[in-house]
Amino acid sequence: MREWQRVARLLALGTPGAAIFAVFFLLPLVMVGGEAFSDHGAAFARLAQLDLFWPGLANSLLLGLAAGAISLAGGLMVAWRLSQMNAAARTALLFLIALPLTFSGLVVAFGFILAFGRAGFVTLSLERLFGVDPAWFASLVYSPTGLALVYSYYLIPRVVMLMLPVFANFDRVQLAAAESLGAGRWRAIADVLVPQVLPTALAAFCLVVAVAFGAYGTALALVGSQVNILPLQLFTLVSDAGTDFPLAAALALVLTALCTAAMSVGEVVVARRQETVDDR
Amino acid sequence: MALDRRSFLLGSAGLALAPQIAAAQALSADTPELYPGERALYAAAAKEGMAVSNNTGPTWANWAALFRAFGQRYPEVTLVYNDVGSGVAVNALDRTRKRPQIDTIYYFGANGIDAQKRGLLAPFKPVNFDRLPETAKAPNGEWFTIHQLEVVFIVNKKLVSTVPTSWADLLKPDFKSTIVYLDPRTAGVGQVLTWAAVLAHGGSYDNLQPGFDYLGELHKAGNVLRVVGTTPYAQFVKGEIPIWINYVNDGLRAKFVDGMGDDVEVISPAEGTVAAPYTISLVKGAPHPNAGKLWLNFITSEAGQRLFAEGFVTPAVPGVAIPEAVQAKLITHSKSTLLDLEKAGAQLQTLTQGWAKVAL
Repeated sequence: MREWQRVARLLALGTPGAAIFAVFFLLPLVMVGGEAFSDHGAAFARLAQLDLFWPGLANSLLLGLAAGAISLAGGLMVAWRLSQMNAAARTALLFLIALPLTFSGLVVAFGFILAFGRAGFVTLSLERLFGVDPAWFASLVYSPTGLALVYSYYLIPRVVMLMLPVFANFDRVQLAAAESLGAGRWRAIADVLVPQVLPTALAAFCLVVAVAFGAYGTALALVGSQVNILPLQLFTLVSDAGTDFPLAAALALVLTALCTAAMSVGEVVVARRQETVDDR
Repeated sequence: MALDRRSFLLGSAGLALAPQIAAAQALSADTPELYPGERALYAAAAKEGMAVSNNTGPTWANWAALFRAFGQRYPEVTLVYNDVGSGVAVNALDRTRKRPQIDTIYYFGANGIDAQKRGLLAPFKPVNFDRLPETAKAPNGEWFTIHQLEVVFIVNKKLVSTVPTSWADLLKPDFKSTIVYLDPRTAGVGQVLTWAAVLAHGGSYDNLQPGFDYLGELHKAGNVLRVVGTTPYAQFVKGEIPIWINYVNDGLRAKFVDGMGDDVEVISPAEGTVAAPYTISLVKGAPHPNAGKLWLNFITSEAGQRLFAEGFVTPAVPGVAIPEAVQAKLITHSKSTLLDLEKAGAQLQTLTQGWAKVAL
């Protein structure tokens, strides 16, 4: 009887999630997969021969890694500082930091245009105060560099959310102990702090790289379709002039696969750490 | 039962609104008809309760004004609309062809021809169909033109020192990093402006090279600021875009409706430009065919066509009386030719691929 109840409870708790996963992930994936293989894989061959595909892949990887690295560096610093604060200040700041997570990519892009665009508040202030050429300054926000920075705006909070518990649970006495045993400051950090932080930091990095790699709304609103990255290529393939749907589906699968791969690297790292912790 | 309740709810919603707008011109027993048979068609449409108008974005081509006027005249038919983009609209309809969820579909003309080839459309000859030129409609009315839009230069005079008046002007160093236009791969207007560049430089529907050469030169000179994927109207009004190659109505709207006034100049290029026909169709197997027909008739009626003109969009029905106040705001187009939909449609791949080679 008890066993039956346990199973029933598991089913009741798991079914909604499983249903949503099936309807909104598996089913679309199967349909896109069917479309991609509708000409027996020829679409993938066409994709590989597309002039824009390989440079687009390289640009997307570069953008993902750059935005990921900036976000990780920023996020680590913010999380470390937060972990040293008292609980009240930390909660207040966390609320502010989490805010960008609730904005859609389009809103973020438009916000940056209003601040850093040609007629943006910051741009015009810089012109008035320091004589900075607004056309030059605005070209930054509309470039791939600008895109990487805008991505960081909503990726840093993700890193902070993941890293804060690790830093908060880190017992600083360990550093003091290492130092009292003769280790230098940096030696103590490298041997005591880094090993405990590294797995989560890697997982966070993988997550934000995957998000930056697959994001398209912000890019479309900010830099337009001239910047050759894979999500925007996919957008052009299904827009007004789009006729080759197997090709678009093949590209969608490639994007999904690459994002999933990046995420799974992170998951594997975390799982490994979990095992070593359990073994202790 | 569920269906009955829904139509009851929609019907009562319409009735609830009716008293306020009866003063406007709601069609009743003693109002004159816009065309013979209007009252009977309205009665049939009211039983269906709603019409689904696909791809008519409210901010595009003054559609919002037509929605309002339709709602006032036919309070018992709820008009539902969305905005997805011409190519996407046709593909979505193709996917649901066995059980379409939409009654009418509006698009850039070339997409209408595509939809007809795919067998997605029902023949219907609306009011004033006979007045449309032969090239502006399918013989049996599977699609017909309702308005056209010319490609122009929309210039923010606050951001450039001189105003370009020709395609040749745009190549000058004065206009470094100033020009924004829409990607031909993602938007009909991008294709139309590419055709305008082709035809203005001695090319033809079989020879696109002169247009590619011109756009390539424009990019190489560094005068193109951005190629964008979606209409950057808000960006233009905010002052982010010095020169926008785009349809005329957006420029006049920024000038007269959204307060940019004399800061905006709308220029028809001296070498000539192209006007793009936009068409609409009744969908084969439409769930509310009578309501769809009522909507299409309203669009091609004198009243509907005049509403386009009031949004600075050129009506397709010749000889529609345009109010003088509106006429005064319109610009004269130096040499504007109507895009040949059949010929342009056949070259779609050549155009987007050739463009990508010179522009990306």
